[in-house]
Amino acid sequence: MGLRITQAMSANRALFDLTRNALRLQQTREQLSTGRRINRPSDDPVTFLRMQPKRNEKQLVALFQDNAHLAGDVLGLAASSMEDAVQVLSRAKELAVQGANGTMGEADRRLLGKTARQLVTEMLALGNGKLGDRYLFSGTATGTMPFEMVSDASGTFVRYHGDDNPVTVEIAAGVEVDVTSSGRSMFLPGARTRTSFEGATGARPGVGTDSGRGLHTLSVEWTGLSGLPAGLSAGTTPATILGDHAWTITAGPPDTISIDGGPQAQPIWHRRRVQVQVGTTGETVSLRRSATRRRARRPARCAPRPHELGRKELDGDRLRGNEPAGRHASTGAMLNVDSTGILRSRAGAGQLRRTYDAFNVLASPGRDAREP
Amino acid sequence: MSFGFYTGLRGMNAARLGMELVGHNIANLNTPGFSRQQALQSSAFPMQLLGGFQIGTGADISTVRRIVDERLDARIRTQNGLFGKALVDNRRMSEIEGVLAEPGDDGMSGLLNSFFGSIGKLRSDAGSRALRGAAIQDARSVTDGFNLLAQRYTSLREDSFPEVEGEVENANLEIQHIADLNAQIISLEANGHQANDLRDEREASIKRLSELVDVRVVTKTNGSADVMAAGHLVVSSGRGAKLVAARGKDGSTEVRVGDTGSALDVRQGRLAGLLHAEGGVLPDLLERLDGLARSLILETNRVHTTGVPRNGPMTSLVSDNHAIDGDDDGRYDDELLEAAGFPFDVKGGDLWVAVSDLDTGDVTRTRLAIDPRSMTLGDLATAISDIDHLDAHVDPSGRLRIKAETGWGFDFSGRLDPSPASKGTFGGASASLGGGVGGPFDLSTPMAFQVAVDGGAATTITLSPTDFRSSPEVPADELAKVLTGKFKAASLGLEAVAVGNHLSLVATSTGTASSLAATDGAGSPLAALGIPTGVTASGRASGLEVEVQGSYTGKGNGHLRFVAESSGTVGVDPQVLVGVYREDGTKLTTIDVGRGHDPLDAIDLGDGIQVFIKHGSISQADGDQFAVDTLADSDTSDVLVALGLNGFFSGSGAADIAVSERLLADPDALSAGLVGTQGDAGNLARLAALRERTLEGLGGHTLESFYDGVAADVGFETRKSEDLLQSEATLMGFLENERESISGVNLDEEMVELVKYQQAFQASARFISQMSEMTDVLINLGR
Repeated sequence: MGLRITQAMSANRALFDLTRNALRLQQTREQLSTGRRINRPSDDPVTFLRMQPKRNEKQLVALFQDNAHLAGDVLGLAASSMEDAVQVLSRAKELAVQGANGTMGEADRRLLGKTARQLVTEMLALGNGKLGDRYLFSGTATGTMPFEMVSDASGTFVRYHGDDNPVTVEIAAGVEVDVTSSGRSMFLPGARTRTSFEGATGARPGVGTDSGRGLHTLSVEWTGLSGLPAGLSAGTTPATILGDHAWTITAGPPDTISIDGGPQAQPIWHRRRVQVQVGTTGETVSLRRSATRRRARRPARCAPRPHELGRKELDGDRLRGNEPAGRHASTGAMLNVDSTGILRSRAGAGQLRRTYDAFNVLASPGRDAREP
Repeated sequence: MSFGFYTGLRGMNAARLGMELVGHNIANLNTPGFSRQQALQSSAFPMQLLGGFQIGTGADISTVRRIVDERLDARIRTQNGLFGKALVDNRRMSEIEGVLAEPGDDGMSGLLNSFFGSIGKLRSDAGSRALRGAAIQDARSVTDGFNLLAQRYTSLREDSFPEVEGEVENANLEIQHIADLNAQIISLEANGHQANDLRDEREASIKRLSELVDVRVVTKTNGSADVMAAGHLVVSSGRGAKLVAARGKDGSTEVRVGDTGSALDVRQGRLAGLLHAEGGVLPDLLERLDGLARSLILETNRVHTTGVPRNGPMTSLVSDNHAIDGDDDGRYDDELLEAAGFPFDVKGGDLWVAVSDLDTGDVTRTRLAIDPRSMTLGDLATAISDIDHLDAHVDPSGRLRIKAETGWGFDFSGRLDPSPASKGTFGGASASLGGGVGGPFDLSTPMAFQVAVDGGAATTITLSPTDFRSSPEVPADELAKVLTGKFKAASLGLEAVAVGNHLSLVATSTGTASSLAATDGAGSPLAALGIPTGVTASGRASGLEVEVQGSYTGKGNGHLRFVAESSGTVGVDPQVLVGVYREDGTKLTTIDVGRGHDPLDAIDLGDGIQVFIKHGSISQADGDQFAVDTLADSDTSDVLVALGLNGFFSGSGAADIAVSERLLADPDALSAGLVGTQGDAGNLARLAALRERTLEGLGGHTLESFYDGVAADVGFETRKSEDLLQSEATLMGFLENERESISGVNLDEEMVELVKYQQAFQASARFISQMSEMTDVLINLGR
């Protein structure tokens, strides 16, 4: 500024300063009204650049929250379905114990069969549970009803239509949680390895042949010296028949069976095995399920499943101990239900581990009772 | 004594003139551009008296002077140019920044965010139509956002021409005004006048011109001010040139001097700001947004094209993009892929096409080698048509149409085949012989071999080089196709199957009665293929099943080939070995599926692949083998992206990016999965991962960080222009003050002057009256 101060200079200066203040005031007002310090990138480009990833992250966290809520809903529903399934199974167990009573007449058994059929329907409804318009237990085939009861020449059974891939949601960066699982692993853990059985008569009074094929492991101890059934080896060391082995059970009157054309014998039921007495000299064949080695993480897929011996289904698995077994005194029909292996998984989802094919266990007594 | 009166009169005149100047100055106190004027007073020429001395004759006003600092004026002009440019720059940058609408939900950052958010949400329930619709809607918002940005930036860019025209008009007015004033000043000053106020007016006009364009002034002795605008003489004395706004050769706006036609290199002033905006930030910004949109299209489509829609494999498909008839022959199918005008380049690579049997879900995958330099669109259509159950052709609009036979579907996903041994080449129910030598095979000479199926008579099969399209090296899949054709022609119940890059022969009969034996003939083709001879392979009562689970997470494309390395029953015999080989023939591992192997145990091969080998028996002598394709990228050629086959976005840049019509018409077409079930979100996982992926096309940034960088750069630029404008304005204010300090009117000063001149006037009047009294005395002296 020079030596001279003119009137215009003072006026200009005042105007300049007033304008600048007004500008600042306007900025502050904008921040006040929007509640944001940065209203455009130029307000503070450096902070803007640092802020943007946070904004994205915030949105991501909101998404994770949504997903976690969703996972909570779905898993909660699945867990309650599982609890209900446990109820159904325990009612079936009661029914089984009740049915294993030799004093029951045919009418009582029919009634029992009807009740059992009811339980199957109930279990089916649980397996076909939905949240909104998606099925809970059909893997990623969320639009397909997972379980269907099918009747054909071989009997009535439940078929799985879903797939084995889980639907996952991301609940944190890189953390995926399965929300719907394969219904197969929930309800039909053994279904993948189902042993197929063929035959017509079963271990009933009368003579006939049943055969079983598929994945099963039998340990056979043979204490006798003669009458060795084909496919079994002698000695005290258990021999293994693993899968794909067809054998024949012949039932003879009364309550005797023979294995693969061996001598007819009366089976003796133990807790963990069935002994078949062969001949008259006291040699026995002992059938016992051996434990198969499995890897961690995978749920037991060939878990023991109870089926009646000799009706249509013979399975080494059923010979495992602990299951309450009922056998009709005169027909030899067996009913087994096991509910000991039901666990709650850590994630909160109810899962039936190491348990039986929930449907076909239940399907059997009903059908059995229906056919006198 | 009489001159004494004149001396007094002169004093009075000088004082009166001075007072009038003070009045003029005071009156122009608020006149912009006014320079105060000052009377320069000097004593009048003295009178020579007798006796040799001189006597003064009073005072004269010699000049009326404008108080200006010419150099300061020049500096103000320069500063004015800088200020004008900064003003325009700032206005333009604020507009550009405003268009981005950041930070906020409507900005591109928020839109991208929502898009990826809804993709993430859709992952939790991929079958939901509502969520699919939401994802597509959000994608649409992104494309609309890009279109809007591109459109507004383009129009901002084009808007500058009329603006430049307007400013040039203003400049011309000033130039003409300056020239006119020059003429007046020259003629006035030639007559000895002082054209002070005209000079002020001229200076103001030059200053206004300097706000438009950089100006240099050369003052001449005759009072003319010649003006150079951006280095070109536009005012010379009384003549002014005309400026014109015009389009340059590259379409950019230029300012030219009317008579010479040469373009001005404008560096300062508002014009410079306008011209700079056109050539500077905007094209770069548009280019970066274009790059972002391109990367989004490319990467999203790379993922989407290789996915499977909600309802499983596709049955028909039309490409979004069409070929261009480059050679103008009315045909679209004869253009090379690299020259067919697709928005994205086709690279040399492979495309895997998976054809599914919609009833059984069995997948057959075919590899098509794509070479954009030798393959035409028509060739591609033919290659796809060559795949069983598919038909492809180029339609009259240049688009590729693919259709599957009824009961069949196709997709381009790289998912793992769930049952890779379904052809029966590995312990299958049918008799099979597997080749131990990998392709491609040299079949350049005629060859022959014999096969006997199911115990029948041996049939001779001949191979000639003309049978094959590829020569001399024939890949396994082509060989299998040709052989199957020959077996069919010979009515043999036999099929050839490509297992990875190996060959297997499988009888169509099943069960223990099925048998197959091969004998080498001319040229020993079987030895070259590694097919066992002297062995009679037989079928089995039931076949072995292989199941594959998981999804491949490794890098690169290839396959894993499983080869029986000993014979026996799975799970029963003591040692049943299966070797696992990579595509390059190196061994990955050996699996023992003998005693102790549980068919339900997953054999974990790493990279997300789990294999289950079920019950059955395998034979080393028969060359039992199967292969699992491991594809990280089922289209390494980008041909799907280029053609827009099952793309998510269509278009090629910010201006024309859009969501593919197929998706808009049917949200189910969104390829969320890799398997084809409704809830399958395998592909969405890949799409969601795109958000975090750094992209080569974006210089190693993610989509969002790249955009944030663009927005922040605009912020930096805007901030810079604001700061610059502030400092230019401050400097301008300082210079104006400086000028005001020199040329401005100070009322105190003028008051003092007024008093001075008043007193001088009064004193001079008093002097005259004194002289008058003295004259009276003289006149009355004689009485």
